[in-house]
Amino acid sequence: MVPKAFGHRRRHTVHRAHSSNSTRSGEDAALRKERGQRGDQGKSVSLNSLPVGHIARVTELRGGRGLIGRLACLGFTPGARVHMLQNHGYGPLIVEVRDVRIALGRGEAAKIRVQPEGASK
Amino acid sequence: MGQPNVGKSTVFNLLTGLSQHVGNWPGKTIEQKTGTCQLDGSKMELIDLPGTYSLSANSAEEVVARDYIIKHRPDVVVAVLDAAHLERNLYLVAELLPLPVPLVVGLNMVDVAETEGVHVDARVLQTVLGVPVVPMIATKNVGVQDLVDVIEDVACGKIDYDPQPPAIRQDHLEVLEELQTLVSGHVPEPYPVEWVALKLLEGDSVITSMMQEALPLEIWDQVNAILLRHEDAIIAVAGGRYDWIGRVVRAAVTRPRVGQISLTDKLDRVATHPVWGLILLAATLGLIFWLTYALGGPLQGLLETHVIGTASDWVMETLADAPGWIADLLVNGVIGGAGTVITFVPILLIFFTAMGILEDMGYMARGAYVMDRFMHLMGLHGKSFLPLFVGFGCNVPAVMGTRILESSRARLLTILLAPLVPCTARMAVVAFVAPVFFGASATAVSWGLICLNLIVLALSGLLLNKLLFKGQRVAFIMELPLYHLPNWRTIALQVWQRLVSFLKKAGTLVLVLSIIVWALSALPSGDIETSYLASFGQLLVPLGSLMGLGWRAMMALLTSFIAKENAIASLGVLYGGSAGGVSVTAALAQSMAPASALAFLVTQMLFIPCAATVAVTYQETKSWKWTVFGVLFLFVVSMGMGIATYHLAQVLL
Repeated sequence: MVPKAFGHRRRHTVHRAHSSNSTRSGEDAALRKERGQRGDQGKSVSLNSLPVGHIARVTELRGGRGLIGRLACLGFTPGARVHMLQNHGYGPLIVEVRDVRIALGRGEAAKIRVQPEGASK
Repeated sequence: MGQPNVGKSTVFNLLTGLSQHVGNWPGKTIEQKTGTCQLDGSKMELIDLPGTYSLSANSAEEVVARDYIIKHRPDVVVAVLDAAHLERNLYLVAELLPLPVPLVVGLNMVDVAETEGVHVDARVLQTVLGVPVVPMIATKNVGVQDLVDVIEDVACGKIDYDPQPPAIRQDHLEVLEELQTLVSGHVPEPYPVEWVALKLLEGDSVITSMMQEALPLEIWDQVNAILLRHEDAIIAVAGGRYDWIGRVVRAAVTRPRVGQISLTDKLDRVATHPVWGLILLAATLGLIFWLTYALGGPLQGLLETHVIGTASDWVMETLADAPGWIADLLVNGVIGGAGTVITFVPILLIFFTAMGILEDMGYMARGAYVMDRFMHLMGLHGKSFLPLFVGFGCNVPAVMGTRILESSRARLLTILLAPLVPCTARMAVVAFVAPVFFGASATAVSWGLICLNLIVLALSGLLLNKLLFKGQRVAFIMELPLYHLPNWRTIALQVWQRLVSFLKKAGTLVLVLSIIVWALSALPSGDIETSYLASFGQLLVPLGSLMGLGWRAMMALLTSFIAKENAIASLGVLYGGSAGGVSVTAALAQSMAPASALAFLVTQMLFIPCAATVAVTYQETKSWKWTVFGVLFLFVVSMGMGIATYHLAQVLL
């Protein structure tokens, strides 16, 4: 029963409700699985591919401890909201996280996985 | 204490004024500023800790800052925060609260916050944090006296002090307690046990090695096993701090409607654009250059005639009866040497002021951002661009300016490359020699030489990075502060400090070496042509002849080691005295072919750094090996390029 009901719900309000929940690293598996099955809205992507003007939430950091430590201190923790200010597809990009503008190289941004939440108003 | 861009230096400057003393942290190349504050009858010793985002072990600055707090236990720690960026700024407070030193929060830039529509309730913040919070506008000297009063009250124990530090995220609480139990009893003084346990969990390299030494082996094995199971705990720790921060911010801060585009964003559309940003940067730098020489040039001329010239004349008159060599020493050695250093002050004054304005405004961060694409080809961080640009004024503050780079590898590479940036002194030599040989095309030649230097800089960067550092890259993470109106006081103080350090380092060294060179040129016979210095010049003749340059030109090159502009003086002395009745420029023009002159200029532009730069290089790298390497590298490069230019020019001209 679950897949059908789930699929039915998906078309309506599920993704909106979930995008307003904050993502916690300790969240339970069912929620995560649900999000994973939601299609595009559920996939986590690299920060690099977030278009300008879009908002996303950080889901995980993948990389060497030194780098992720620095990123985490600056505010890139799971659940944090990022707003892409500048991304030309090449060269460094600028994001706004926790009210601060941070410029990141593409290599660094690639290590931040985010879940897009759509364009800002 | 404070994160970068919060106005910490403005506050420190206001409190200490000119009583500031700038030095180094012992054994490190990090700047240390101390001062005394005497406001309203109370006297305080202040120390400015390096601006850091957190207190991890990621950078030497952070370690220095936290070691000072833990080991020296100051009476009060003042954390300066930017009210417009409270969320991120509170991260540092989250790290400071658990430490056993009283904390006072200076909530700065309240005016900027209000303009952005952000309102921070200082009393609520105070209640939630449990420590005194003093709102301030440092740039307008508002609230600073209150800060001083509060600091005093806390130091005397008059205020109820009840800090409320953040707790770690629930899922890691057990692990933290486990670690704490394991290490307690073995934590060296004066480190707090809970703090050490937290840092171990974070993966702090310094604390981990410290505990590895301090713990008995079996306990260390247990601790290590736990740490290996939780390698990503830093994310949970940082996350926990931000959760706490979120609660604090929600309580104390009211925000405007999200989505407002601020002035900074509008300006950044251009300033950080891959194409327009670069054009804007080039235009801005061009403007700085133009201003520097348009205003500084005439000032320099005035200094030369009225100050240097008058001093020389006065000395000659007063010592007319004394043995000739004393007057000669004073005029050519002392005044000649120190004098040329002084004539650079107007140029540097304007240059440093212009740069200071751009830095304070926040534009330089955009410059670094735009230049990062090119910098990282050389394995450098975009921020390396800033000290390299300062090198156009003088290489000495450029080398010292590399301190802003966090990676020691990037710092070293930037220091090695800094002398390739043509400084005003080298340009002065070009300005003197080029018109003699190239007449109207002298300007084109000058530009060509600058471009050549920059190309060699880029190629050397690529080469050195590949050879020495195996082509490693530096992570590019940089904050872009909000644009704001420059604060004249801060800029003035910074320009003053840069000038003073230039005069002290470059000045004294140049003076000492000028006298030595003068001695070498006067001994043993009093005639420069047969002096010791001439013998040195003769040694270089084999190399020089490959470029069509005689011993006089090589000697001029040698004297440029003392100070680049000495080459002019040497050329004057060496060629002026040779053919009687003919002017220096005419003698010079007759003595070598244009191709050789070009080769001379190229070599001179790429030549080993002046003595002051070498001295500062040693000071910043603390390594003879690298200093000597730098000198040899440039020697080889300059000679090689010079010879190549000579042969190429012979073919083309």
